[in-house]
Amino acid sequence: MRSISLFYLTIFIYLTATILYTISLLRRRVHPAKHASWTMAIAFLLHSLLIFSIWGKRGYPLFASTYDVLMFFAWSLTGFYLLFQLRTKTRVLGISIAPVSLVLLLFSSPGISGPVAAPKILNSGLVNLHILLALMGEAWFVLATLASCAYLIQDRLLKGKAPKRLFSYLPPLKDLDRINEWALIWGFVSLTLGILAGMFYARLAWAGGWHLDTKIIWSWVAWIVFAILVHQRLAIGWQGRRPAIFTCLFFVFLALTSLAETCLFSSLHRFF
Amino acid sequence: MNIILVGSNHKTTPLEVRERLAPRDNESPHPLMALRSLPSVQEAFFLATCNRVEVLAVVSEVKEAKEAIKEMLQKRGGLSPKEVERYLYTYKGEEAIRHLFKVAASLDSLIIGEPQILGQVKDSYRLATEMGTTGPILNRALHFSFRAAKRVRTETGLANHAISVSYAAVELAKKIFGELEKKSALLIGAGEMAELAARHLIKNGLSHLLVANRTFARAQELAGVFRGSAIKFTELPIALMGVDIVISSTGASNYIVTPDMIVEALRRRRNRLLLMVDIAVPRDIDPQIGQMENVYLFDMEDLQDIADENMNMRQVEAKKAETIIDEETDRFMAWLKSLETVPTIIDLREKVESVMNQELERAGTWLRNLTDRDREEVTILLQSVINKILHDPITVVKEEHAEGGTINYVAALRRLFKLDEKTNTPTTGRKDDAPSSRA
Repeated sequence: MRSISLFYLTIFIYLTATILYTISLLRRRVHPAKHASWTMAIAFLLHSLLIFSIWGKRGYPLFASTYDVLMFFAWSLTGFYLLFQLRTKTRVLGISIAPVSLVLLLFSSPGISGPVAAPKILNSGLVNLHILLALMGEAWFVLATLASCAYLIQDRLLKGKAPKRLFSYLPPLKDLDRINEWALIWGFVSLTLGILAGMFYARLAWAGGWHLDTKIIWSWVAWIVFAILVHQRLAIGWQGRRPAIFTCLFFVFLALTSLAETCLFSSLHRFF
Repeated sequence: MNIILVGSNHKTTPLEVRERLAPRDNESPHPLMALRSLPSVQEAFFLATCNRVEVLAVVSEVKEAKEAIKEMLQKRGGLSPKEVERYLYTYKGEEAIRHLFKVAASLDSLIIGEPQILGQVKDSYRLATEMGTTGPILNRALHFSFRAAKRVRTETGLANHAISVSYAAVELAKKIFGELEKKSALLIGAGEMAELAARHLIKNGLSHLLVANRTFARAQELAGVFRGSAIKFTELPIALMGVDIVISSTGASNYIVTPDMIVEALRRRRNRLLLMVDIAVPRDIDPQIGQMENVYLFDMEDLQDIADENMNMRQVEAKKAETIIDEETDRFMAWLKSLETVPTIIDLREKVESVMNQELERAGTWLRNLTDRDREEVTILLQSVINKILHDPITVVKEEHAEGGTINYVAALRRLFKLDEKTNTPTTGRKDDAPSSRA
């Protein structure tokens, strides 16, 4: 019962942050966004409490349903954003984060009522680690994409000599670029480790045939996309507009292929 | 009697010509001396700044004086006759006054509303009064210009505009780089505006400044002020590879920074973002560069637009300022007109007659004791005293008028007899008691 009230409180605080961000956006003032970021920080703390209290009560599996996945994904996204918020002046970027987290949390609400029967395979520690890291990798990528979108808008505003109140509202280009860079690097690390954990488990648990699973193939595609972006940034020295464009394009590509994969193919990865 | 103004400014004249006309320390002989020695010039005022040179004069013979003043400027700046024709403008009468007021009120400045110009006009005026080249007309004209400038400053928002323009570069830099620490800037050309922008950038954390100027000594001087380093003009392409911000303000007539230079620099910069601010008129940086990826180019127009939160604000405020200038010009012209001989003689007679009538009225009780005839005699007596007294001054003024040099006499008459105060026109009196306090 306690987790349910905590859940609603968390949603309420996310809602407050979203409203504050919306006010900031409508009035083109950074000031309400400052309050919104603090509200987000509180929401994140509550959200953490919520997740850990659920996990503490239930133990393995950490991810017993899609709802758990959504809740954890929202938590990672908020957490990573707030980490950057500490280092950069990107308060306004929260406008794109707070509603996403809010909606994801709302969707995960049916999961709060109690544990669902889950396949035994999900009890393995290695599998839990695999899911955790893969989700974090995706959260990093979503953050990188949101920052890139903001970058492209800001770039357009500055190049188009837009009025000051528009461009001075959005975060500085350099900060958005830095978020893109670090989110890609950390996302790449998370995803790589996550895939490794998954492969390791698959080798131990399954005899074979899993290599050609569509989800696994998709994961490799996603990994390659990450690898390309990170390579271009670190080795070739891409900065600014180009990585932002490609991050957005790759995000759309991965979202569409993921959707197609889920709808059209059966997969070893379907548990609930 | 006529007022003319001969000059050149940043709008009409390229910098290399302006530089030749620019103010010099301890110039000898001072241009005012040369002006004073011109036979057709009665009063003269001389203003020279980096952006303009203006000669305002009260002259007896317009054509002759105009040519003489042009010749003086031509000699001073070493201009060719062609340059004189092309770059010097001349205004007469009301237009000359309007131009002076616009200059003082900073409506004619590169950055409208910048405050330095009024100080420069005041300094030049002080010098002219010390050298005794101004007279009643220019004294009044200059005081009117100060008042017009003050009204423009207090009654319109143009002063704020100027402050924000020099700050706009900082705002852009912050929106591109976030923090300015560890960032470096390159100044190309060492103009006042560039210096101001550099000052703002450094105040906001900029860590290093490079200065490039055609005259290396000036680059070193400015670099010294900001603890930066001076580089030669030929080193520009290399400097462009390293810096984050470029502020260009040279007076060159063609582009200093070409797309080729930037393409080469970008290759070496590994796509680092580059902010370029072009505050030169005409422009220093090829506008094509603004299309390149990761390069953000802004020119003077853009900065002014950014400076105004509200895009219409500048136009609205400028219109308000024009109205003020028109009002002050009209007032001055009304005053000037009163200096013509005939109206002054009429005013003088009216004033004296009104004094006589007042006194007669005051002596009413005593006069009543006289017979009608005696009373008439007294009036006639007074009238004839007045006529005798006024006869000589009026004759002299009329004679002088025929020779074209009445201004000083008429002005003196008006002042001595306080003719303007009697009619109570708003143009009267000291400069401070004018109705400038209307908000």
